[in-house]
Amino acid sequence: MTLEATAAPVEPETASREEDLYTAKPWTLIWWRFRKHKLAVASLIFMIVLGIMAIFADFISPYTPFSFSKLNTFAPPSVVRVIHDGSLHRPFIYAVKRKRDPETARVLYEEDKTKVLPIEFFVKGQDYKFLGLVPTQMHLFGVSDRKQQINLLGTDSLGRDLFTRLLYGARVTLSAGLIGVAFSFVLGLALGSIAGYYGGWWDSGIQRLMEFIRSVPTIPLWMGLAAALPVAWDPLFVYVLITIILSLIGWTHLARVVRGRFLSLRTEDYVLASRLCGASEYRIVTKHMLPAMTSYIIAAMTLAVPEMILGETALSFLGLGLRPPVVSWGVLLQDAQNLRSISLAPWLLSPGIAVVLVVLAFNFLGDGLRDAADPYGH
Amino acid sequence: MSDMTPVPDDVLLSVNGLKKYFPINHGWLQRQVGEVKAVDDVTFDIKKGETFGLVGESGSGKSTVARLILRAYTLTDGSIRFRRADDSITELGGLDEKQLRPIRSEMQMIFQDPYSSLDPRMRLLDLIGEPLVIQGKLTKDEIRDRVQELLGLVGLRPEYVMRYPHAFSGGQRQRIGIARALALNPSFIAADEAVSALDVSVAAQNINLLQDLQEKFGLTYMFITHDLGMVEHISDRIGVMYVGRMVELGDTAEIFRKPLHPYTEALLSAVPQPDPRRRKEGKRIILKGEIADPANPPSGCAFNPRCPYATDLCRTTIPALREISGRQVRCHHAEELDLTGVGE
Repeated sequence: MTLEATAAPVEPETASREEDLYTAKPWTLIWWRFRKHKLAVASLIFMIVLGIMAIFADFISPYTPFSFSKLNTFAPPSVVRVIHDGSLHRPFIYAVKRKRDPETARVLYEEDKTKVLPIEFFVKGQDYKFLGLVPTQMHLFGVSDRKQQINLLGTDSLGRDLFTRLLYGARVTLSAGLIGVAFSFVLGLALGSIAGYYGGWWDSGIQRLMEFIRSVPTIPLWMGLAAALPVAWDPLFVYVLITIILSLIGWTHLARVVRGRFLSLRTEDYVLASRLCGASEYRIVTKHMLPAMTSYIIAAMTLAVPEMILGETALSFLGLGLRPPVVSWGVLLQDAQNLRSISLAPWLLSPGIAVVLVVLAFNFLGDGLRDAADPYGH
Repeated sequence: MSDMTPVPDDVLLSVNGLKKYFPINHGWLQRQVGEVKAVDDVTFDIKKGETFGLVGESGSGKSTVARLILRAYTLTDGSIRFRRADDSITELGGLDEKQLRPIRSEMQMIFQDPYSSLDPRMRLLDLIGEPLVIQGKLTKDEIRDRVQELLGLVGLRPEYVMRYPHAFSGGQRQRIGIARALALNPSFIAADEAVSALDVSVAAQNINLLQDLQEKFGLTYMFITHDLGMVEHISDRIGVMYVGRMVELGDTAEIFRKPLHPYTEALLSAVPQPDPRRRKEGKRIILKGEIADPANPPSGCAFNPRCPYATDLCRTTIPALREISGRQVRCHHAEELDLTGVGE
């Protein structure tokens, strides 16, 4: 038999769109698949917007996080309106008047429907250093009235703008989550790959260690570890230590994912094929195993962030984690600890809503990534 | 191993007393509680340029033999002697990964599953070119040229180098695997169930391709399969394995005409016979039970619980591999039995 007779018929020229699919890089395929997961894409956009807001918190927020005003305590959220006197108006708020209830002596705020305060953009406000570097007074928005404030989420017991503090808190809480995941990534990747790659004794030992860590009740463990941190330490240093504490518990999940991937990849035919070509262990791990794992690791890391954020929030809420003057969502929630302030100023719970939204967004994002992680499933 | 006879001039690969026992580990401390005798005392030669078929049921240890020869596993015992391109004989048994590297280019494997044997994250250029990159003798452009040449050899368009494996069907993927195996100009290729995942027409195409390549490059094949129809078509000689042991070994035509081992007879009777003149009435042998557990083989001949001709001798004594009329067979009663093959 001749080669010409037996070779499979060469296929006709394919359309260029199909060619795009056939030559698409693995990450392109993952992105195409991820794109179909609408909730995950929405979550990704939400997280990007929130991230940008946190990074530029000092510019976006109308005030600074520590500027208090004793005449504006527990002020309710300002209502942004567009209709004044029955006609359309550029976005504005009404000025408020501080009054006291004659019977209970409670502070009340009443809108003065005659005094319109239009919201202005790029206004001059309090001094700050843009990104901690450039001194400026420019804020994204505000009202140009010395005695009135725009408080989108109200104020706290010292008259500090909650919206401003929420943005600053996002910096601390989100970065604590990301740094904590980065630490647990290092631990999880190292221990997970040792367990999955070497197997045997190492595997059993590391597995038992993970089971032990997972069986310890988290709150008492955090309390114990946090109690070991002296109160007098620099808040920044405490912040780093808290993230390390969180990651000491959080790495187990990631280690499991890495171990499982190593175990399944080790028996893949293409890994054996590569070995039979004389590939070194280093080449097999870096060229075949790690690329097949990265998308799974990223998905697992995304799903680990909420755990970290909830941990930080819980610790700080209980007074075991970060403490004022550091602003984090957990610290902000401390203000909502007593029933009186919640009933007087329910807007103090808004950091809790922020936590819920962020945790949900990370979970949706992680789900989407996990589904897209293996675009070659047969 | 010092008493081994020298490798004859026409032999490419000589396997002697090959054994592979896998430990069974159990419990917390991973204590060894037993072993699976996947391959037990297997001896055979493969001649230069021939196609050697290795047949047997799933679990008979035929894939393990291939993987031992290619040194994907370490041997428990035995010897594998391989004739290198420069005509020197190398014992592969005790070599470590570093010593094996230069030899790996001379022996390659084609895998059963065309889906899992190609890394989905690599373009054909990198997949087929990987052996060339590892051996590190060619420049990037030379590798690209070689990959395109190989694609042409297996009947795929050279322009496909930038595609990923997901662009191809099972049969095409198998061809990519063949191209990859050929990249380093090996003299020996082990094909482990290479076409059993494909449908019949595609399988036939690929078999023909392999035969053409054999002619063109003087390749020596070891075909591992459970498809006896295919083995009759392509193999010069076959070895029949049962629970880790070689039970019969000889010329394909001879074995098909008149098997000497009852297990071979049973296998042959199950081959669908498209030619009505070659069909024999009512001679299909249906074996009782399942293939024996290699971790816990029956005493005596491993085939005795399923063998219609078994005697007390078979139940107590393991038969030795004996030479009968130019064939090797592992049965106590090989001479007495008059077994039926596939008619002429």
